[in-house]
Amino acid sequence: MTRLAPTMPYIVILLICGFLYYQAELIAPAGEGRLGADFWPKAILIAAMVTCAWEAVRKARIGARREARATPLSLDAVEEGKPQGEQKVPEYVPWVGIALTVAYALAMPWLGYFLASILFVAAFVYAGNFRRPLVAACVAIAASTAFMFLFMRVVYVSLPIGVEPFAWISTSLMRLMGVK
Amino acid sequence: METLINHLAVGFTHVFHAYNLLMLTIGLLIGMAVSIMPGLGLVMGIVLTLPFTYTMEIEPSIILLTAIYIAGTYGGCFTAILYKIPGEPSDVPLLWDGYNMNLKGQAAKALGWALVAALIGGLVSSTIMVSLAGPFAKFALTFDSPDYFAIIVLGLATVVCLATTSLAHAFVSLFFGLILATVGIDTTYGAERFTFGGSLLSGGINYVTVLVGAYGLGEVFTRFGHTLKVEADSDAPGRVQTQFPSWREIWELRHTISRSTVLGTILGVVPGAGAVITSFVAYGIEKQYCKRSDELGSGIPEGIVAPQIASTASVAGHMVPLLALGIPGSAATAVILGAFLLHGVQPGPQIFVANPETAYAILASLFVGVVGMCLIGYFWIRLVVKVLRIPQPIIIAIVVLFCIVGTYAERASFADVGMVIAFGIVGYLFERFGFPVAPMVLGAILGPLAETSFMRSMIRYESDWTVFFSRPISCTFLVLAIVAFLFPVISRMRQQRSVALAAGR
Repeated sequence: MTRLAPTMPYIVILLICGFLYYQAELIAPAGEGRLGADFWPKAILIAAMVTCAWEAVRKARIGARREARATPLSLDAVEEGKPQGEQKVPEYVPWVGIALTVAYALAMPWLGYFLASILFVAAFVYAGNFRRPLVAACVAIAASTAFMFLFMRVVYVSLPIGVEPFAWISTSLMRLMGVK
Repeated sequence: METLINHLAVGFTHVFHAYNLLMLTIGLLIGMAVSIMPGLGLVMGIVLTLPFTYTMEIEPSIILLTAIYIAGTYGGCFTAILYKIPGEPSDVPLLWDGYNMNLKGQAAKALGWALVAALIGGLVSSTIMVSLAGPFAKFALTFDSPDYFAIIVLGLATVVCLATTSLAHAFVSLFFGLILATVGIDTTYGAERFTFGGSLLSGGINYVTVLVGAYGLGEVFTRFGHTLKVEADSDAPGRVQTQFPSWREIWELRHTISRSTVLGTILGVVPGAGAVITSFVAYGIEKQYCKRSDELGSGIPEGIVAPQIASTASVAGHMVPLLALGIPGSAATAVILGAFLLHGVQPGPQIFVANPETAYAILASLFVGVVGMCLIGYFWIRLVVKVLRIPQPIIIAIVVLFCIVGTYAERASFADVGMVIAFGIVGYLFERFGFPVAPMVLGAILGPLAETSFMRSMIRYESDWTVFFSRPISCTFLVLAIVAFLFPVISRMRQQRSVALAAGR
């Protein structure tokens, strides 16, 4: 089972490609002797499936450990390398960031851009290992206000104002900034 | 030649318009700042600035993004030399000699060498490439759809082969990007593909969401919770000053300078070989041919000059094929291509015919950008280096705001915001499992161009596959693509063989 673990990502991708290939079969075909709209995606999917199958078999045969030993250092090892002086974080931590970002996007239509951004920045900064709540709150207010000004007053982009009673805060701030 | 100088002169007058010059300066400052911050990088800088260009004219927006690109190849040298922190992966070779010169008490001299190298590399490479741009575009006008298809295949091949440790991972990433590009209504037949009966995907997947998600949010999620510690005892900020080498010292390094400039320019033209590859290759070449190769790595100017010249020289090398052929050779130029397309302009040989003022203004901005970057580097770097003191969680929270609001700004659509978060998660998972992001992004951008050229060739030549090999231009590019595919496979097999031989011994 441990031996098969490194093959799992490829098997998952292989299954997804298989499903998409089935979907590609539903694309309206072209006339006799001509390549239709389904040809290009099918060709890509076949190439992807062959690559995944090849890699899955290879991983299963060699085993991840041996491969890691045999893989020579290349430019990408440095390219993917992290800056010095960084500490490792537990695996769940990035998912906290993802969850906060999803919550931010979901809250924005209700709370409006300004309030949602303040809450998001404060929570994101705090959860991101910055343990100075007052500074985090000040940064959140400053960043949200600055972004609102930048986008609504300089770039003329309309941002969500939210629903009442939150919309009142957004519109008041907009009035203060001179946004009509 | 006279026409070129005339066009370039007009280009310079466009660049020196107050608004364009302002955008260029802002771009240089952004480029400096993002390249100093580890984890941000010049590509993310360009991606995050992209939404601000929606309401701009084409000229200032491309000048802004190009300035970020140029400055992004230089700004990181400060943190590499002073703090041993490579702001960009292309700055890693600068650590070896730059930081060692700093330890010897020659930080100002090391910074001076980096500045001179960036200036020479940028100006010489821009001169070479700008003079080649016209003939390049004229030659490209003779291209037919099979030739374009072959060039795109070569571009994708080199991106896949140069940018990764695992060829299979790079291929999977590329295929994922190409599949993303097929979602929506097919442009040749008008058939719906992978829309799953809904309206959300019928307009296709906006590549800006792929770019912002995979590069911006993906990197943010990867870095979330990390804290970067700059050496507390470092008195480097006090040493942030630049001491120029003398003319004699520069003359003594003439061989290194010429080797690295030529190498950077040539490698810049090769699709996929970005600033990272060029700076490493230039350092490697110095290691072989430099007179003091034994001392390389101990803190000598050659180790700073070679990678810095090559990475800055690669910018012009990348920009000219983008303008003349419409094909981006790096992630940064892929985003710039995206900016062109957002403004309804398809870069390619026609741009030199239909809109030479814009084309040459962008080329002229390369020269002005290089000089401006060095001036900022010399005078204002103390300020720019201070961005390092901003805590990482604050920076990445602001990056998320940029990504989310920037995406929303394009079409005022929450569906786009959802999409960008989804691609952020994909970008994080790619990073987590060692799949490179660049092939996916280039696949998503170049996919439609590749498919259109392919289908056009098939329709025009009645599904005759041999057309790709019977035309000299397309055949040459396809052979080069095959070589690009085979090169890493063969070199890996050779390395594995030598490892096995060494183990047997």
